[in-house]
Order: sequence, then C-alpha cells, then structure tokens
Amino acid sequence: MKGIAYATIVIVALIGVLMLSLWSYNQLATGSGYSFAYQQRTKEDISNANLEIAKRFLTQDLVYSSQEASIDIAANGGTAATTYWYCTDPTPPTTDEVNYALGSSSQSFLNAYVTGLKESKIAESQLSVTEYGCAAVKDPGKASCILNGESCESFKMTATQGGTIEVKTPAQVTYSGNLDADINSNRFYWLYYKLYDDTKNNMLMRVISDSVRAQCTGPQTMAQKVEVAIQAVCKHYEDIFKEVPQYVKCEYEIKCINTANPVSCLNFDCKRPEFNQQFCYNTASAAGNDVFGKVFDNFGGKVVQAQGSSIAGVNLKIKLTDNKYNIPTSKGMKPLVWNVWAALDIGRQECRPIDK
Amino acid sequence: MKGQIFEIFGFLILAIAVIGVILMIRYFMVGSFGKTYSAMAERHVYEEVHAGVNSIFFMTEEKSGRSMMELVGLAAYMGNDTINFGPSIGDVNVVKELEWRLDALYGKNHWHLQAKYPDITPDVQIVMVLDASASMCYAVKEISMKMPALIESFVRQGKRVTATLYILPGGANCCNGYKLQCANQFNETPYFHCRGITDIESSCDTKTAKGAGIQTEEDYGNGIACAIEAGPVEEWNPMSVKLGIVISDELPVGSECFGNSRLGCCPGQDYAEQRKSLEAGIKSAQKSKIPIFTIQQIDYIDEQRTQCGTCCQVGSGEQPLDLQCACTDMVTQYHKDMASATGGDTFTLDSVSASDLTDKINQIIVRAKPIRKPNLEVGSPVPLDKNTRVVEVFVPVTVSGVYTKALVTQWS
Repeated sequence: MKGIAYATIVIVALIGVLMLSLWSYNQLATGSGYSFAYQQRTKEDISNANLEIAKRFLTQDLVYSSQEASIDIAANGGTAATTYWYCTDPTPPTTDEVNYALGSSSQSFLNAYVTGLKESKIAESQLSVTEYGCAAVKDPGKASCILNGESCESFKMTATQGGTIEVKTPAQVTYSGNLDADINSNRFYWLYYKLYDDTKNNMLMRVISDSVRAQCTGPQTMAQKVEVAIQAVCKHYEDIFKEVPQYVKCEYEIKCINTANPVSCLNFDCKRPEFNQQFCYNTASAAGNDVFGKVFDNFGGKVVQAQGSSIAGVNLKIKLTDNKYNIPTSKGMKPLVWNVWAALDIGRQECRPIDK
Repeated sequence: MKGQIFEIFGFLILAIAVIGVILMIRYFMVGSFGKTYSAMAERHVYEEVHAGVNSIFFMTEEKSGRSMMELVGLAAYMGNDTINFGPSIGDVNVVKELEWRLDALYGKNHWHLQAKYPDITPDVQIVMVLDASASMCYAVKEISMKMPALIESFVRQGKRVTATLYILPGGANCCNGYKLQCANQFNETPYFHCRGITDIESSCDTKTAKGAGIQTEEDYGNGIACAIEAGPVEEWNPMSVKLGIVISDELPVGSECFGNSRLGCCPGQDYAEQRKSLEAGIKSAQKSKIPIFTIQQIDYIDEQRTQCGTCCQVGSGEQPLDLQCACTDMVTQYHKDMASATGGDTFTLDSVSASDLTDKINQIIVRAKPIRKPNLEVGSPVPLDKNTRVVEVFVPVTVSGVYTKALVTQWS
C-alpha cells in the first residue's frame, strides 16, 4: 500500500512536471514564432530600405538627366538639332517643340542610367529596374517667366510608364510608380521665354536695321556696318536679361557674311518641319503654352521686311551664357548656354534725314 | 517491498529522464533565443546606422538646394571636395557638410565615409606643338601619316582621345614633299585636328614682355603656352585628362646664337630669350595643371641618312648643318626642365623607323592618368580592433548611366 502511494506521488509529480514543461514549451514556441516572424520582417525591412534608396537614386538620375538635357537642348537652340530662330523670318521653336525635346532627351539620359544599373555588377544581384516610357516636363509657364524671373529658376520633370523597381534580396519587394523631380537653379525657361518674346517682336532684325541705318553715311564697308549691327544685337540681348549683377553675357560668331552675293550665305535649309510629334503623355505640358504658341503663329504685320534690295546675307550664331548658376553635367559644372542661330537677309535701309 | 522500491526507482529514473530531455530542449531553445536576441540587438544597431545614412543622403544642403546624395556624387566624380555652383550660390564644401551631419549622428571619430571615383575611362585631350623649322620635315610626314589612325585606334578601344596639333609659323617646303603647315596634309577627323598656331594667337595670352607673341618657327615655349590657353579645337573639358606635347630638336625660339656671327650652338651663352619662352610654357602648364611631354627629334633632316649633319635642299638654300647637333645636350636639358616642372616626361627619338614618333605619342597616351583625388574620403580612419557596421549606398554621377558606391562605416 505504501509502495502504491509513493508511486502515485511520483506519477502525479511527473504529470505535474510534464504539464509545466508543456506550458513553458508552449510559451517558448509562441516566442520562437514571433522570432521567426521578426526575422522575416527584418528581411523585408532591409529590402524596403533598399527600395527607398533605389527610389532616391532614380530620382537623382532624373535630376541629372534633366540637367544634362537642358544643357544640350539649350546649346542646340531649343530642339534636338541646330535650331534657327530666324530663317530670314522669325522661326523660334514653340513651347511644345522645346518641351518635347527636353522631355525626350531627359528620357534617353534616364534610361541610360537604368541600363547602366543593369550592367553594373554592384547592382545586378540586388535590384532591377525597368526603363521609363515617358519623361514629361512641366515648365513654369510664360507668366512666371516673363513677369517675374525669380519664379522661373526651376522646372519639374516626371518620369512615367515604367520604372518598376524590384529588390531581390534578402526579401523580394517591388514598387511601380512615377518619379518626380524639381530641377532647381536652372534658368532654362527664363531665357527661353524671354528670347521667344523678343523673337516674336522680330527684335533682332529691328536692331540690325536701326544700326545699319544709323551708320548710313559712315565710311565703313557694308560688312563692317553689319558687324557693328550684330554687336548692337548682342547688347540688345544682354539688355533683355538685364539684372544686377549682370549674369547673362552675349557673344556672337559670324558663320558667313556676304554683301556681294547675300544668297550665298543663305543657300541652305534652315526651316524646321512643322512640329507634329505626339507627346508621350496626354495633357499639355505647361499651362498657357498653347495660347502663347498660337499668338506667335500670327505675326500680323510685325515682321520687318527688307527695304528695297538685299545688302547682306548673314549666318550667325549668338551665344547667351547665363553665369548665375553652374549646372552639374558630365563635363563638370557648366553655366547654361542658349545658342540662337539666325540666317538673315538684311535689306537696304533708308538713311535717316540729316537734322538741320 | 523490493519490487515496489524498484518500481519507484523506475518511475524516478523515468521522471528524471523526461525532465532532463525537457530541460535540454529548453536549454537549446533558450540558447537559440539568446542568439536571436543578440542578432536582433545588432540588427537594431545596424538599422539605426542604415537609417542614419539614408537620412543623411536624403537631406538637402541649404545653400545649394541639392541633396547630399547629389553632392557626394559630384564630389566623387569631380575629385574635388568643393563644388562651385556659380556666383549666386558660391562654393559648397561637401566634406564639411558631411562632417557636421555625421558627427551629430554618430559622434566624432566614430564614422568614415568613402566614395570612389566611378569606374569610367576619362577622356584624354592633347594639344601638340610642332616646331616648324626645316629639320622637322620628318616629323610632319610621320604625324600626317600616322597620328589620325593612332587616335582612332584609341577611340575604337573605348578610350576617347582627341588631339589638336598646332604647327608653329613657318610653312617651309620639305624635300619629302610635305610642307610644315596644316593645309591639305592632315585628315581631319572628329578626334584629330591640325591648326596653324597663328590661328589661335589672338585668343591666347602669351605675349612676351616685348609684345612679340610667338617669335619664331621654333618658339615652342610660347607656343605650348598659347595652345594651353586657347585649348584644343573642341575646347577643354574640365573632366578630361589633359596633356601637352612638344616636338622639337632645338631650343625654344631657336638654338642660334643671336647676335653672334657663328652659326651653331653656343655652350655657356645666356640664352635669355629661349629661357623666357621656356618659362612661359612652364608657367602656363603649371597654372592649368597640364603636364608637358617633350619629344626630342633626332638631329638629322634627311631620313635616308642617319648621321648628324646631313641636309636636304630646303627653299632657296641649304640649312645650317651643325646647329641641331651641337645643341643636342642643351636641348635635352631644356626639355627635361619643361617636363619635370610640369609633371610630364621627356622622350628622345632613337630611330627613323616609321612608327618611332607615333610610338612615343602612344606611350604618352597610354600612361595618361587623371590628376585628381581617387576617392572622396571623410571621417576618421576605420579602426581594425573594433566591431564596425558598413552601409553601402549606390550614388549616381553626372555621366549618364554611371554609378559609384559610397561606403559608410560606423563603430561604437
């Protein structure tokens, strides 16, 4: 009987220990479950952090691409190729043309970064990004740029239609969304709209005509008179960007000048085909730009026609350097340079009457 | 009784075994938990460092309005701690901007940041100045025949090299059918150009004290100064590796003893004009940080004969024969002076083999290295005896499609 009692006590104790152990095991098992979940979560956190970094450097890619594109397009005069703002008549690039060129060029540069990422050994095992199908510029608009230069020192760029980011390790996470970037300290549109407005009023030809007329009785050759007139044009361009201190500087390069046979300098096709490209996005790029373009398309009687016979044919490049900001480019920090090409047929001017 | 005791012992042993097994399981589980907690704690610290790095790179620098990621990328690419954003913004010192931010985050002497120059081959831009005296007829022929192809071969290998050859004034006819001038003798390519130095003389600031500018067909001291000031045809690219090459067999301005009836070198004479020209070249190269490599032409004119003192008919009369030979050592010294003062090197042609001159130029291009800091480095050296945490961030640079890597190391 005594033996049975001892055995019972031991069995009860054993069951008690078992119960206690099961309870504690259960507790521990619950903890390890959390631990497992935590470890899984940590992997996702790392991937999410890497995803955030990827989004960040892709946005930076867009900034660099837009900056490089702005330098290239401005150097071309507003489009993807050499752009004549005067092809005898004023033919400045429209806002749509400029925005299209800037967007397309930015997209090309951005996708080069995406390709570079694919080819980069440091990145290929960790993340992949698909190319962007569209880069759209939102310019500050004519009102901001003409009325108040201070509010026209930046523009926005958006990359859409692609750019799916996939982080592969330690956990797989994906993100698909647009990139937005503010391109600051870049007066691309300030110079463009001012030049556009100036060209709309055919100011280059007016300044040349006035200058040639003022030199009417001078002893210089006609070529010298025209060069003096071109110097006056440069002065005029610096005046339209007048500020304190003066940041925009003008230089010119006469590619061709001929007073004996003016046509010889104009015997090439400087007219661009009508702009009919489709934007990769639906809405217009900038508020007001269409209206602005339409106004310009109807010059009315503003174009100054040559008075009488032609006295000189000139092929001219005017270089406007905005030294206010240096822009990061592949060639280092560069000021923005807008080049304006002009093929001009300068007409004979009536001399001013001599004051008595 | 005995049986009951055995039974109790049996149960007891069983109970001890079960408890032992349970304790073992718990021990390992707790051990595993310990490790997990340790890993979690380290993870937290790493995440803290990682989050700190992210926040730093996402920050905007107040003066320029640029993100720190952009500034790090620019500084690493340009090999310069200070970036100039133009007169309106001014200079931004990237090292200082990183220092105060990372000091505030991790504490002084507890971090290190390194961003390497990206893995790209820099462009190489060369301005060459060729002595245009008649003894250089051999060189003009060789450069005309070989140089454009040499440059193209580099381009085909993916190294963008451009060269502009400036020929000093002269234009003498050579007995090999060439002239010492650019016109109609050089195939212009997008990568190779030939110009008379007089074309750029007005745009360079190398007027001597007398206001004489480039004085003679051998004035390669003022010539290289002018070429450096005016730059190559495509203009200097601030990010390229820039080289100056001088090819001559005489002293700058000429080896003649001016004012002395004797033709030939005048050992011991004070070549004041020559020294002045040399120093103009050195000064300009030092100012622009462009190394000058000199190639000393061997002292003969007629490529059919190799001994010194041979000559061919040039223009209306014979060229002086002894001049180049007599001055060889002094010319070598001048070339050494120019090269050593600017970080370049000297080469002497040692044969009349068709490829010797271009071989030397090839060597110069192959050896071209950028004069720049290889890394952007900020913070204290990484200690070897401490537990460190390293965060890696991809940083794009302004060359389309190119990234570098910033490594931030933190320790307690």
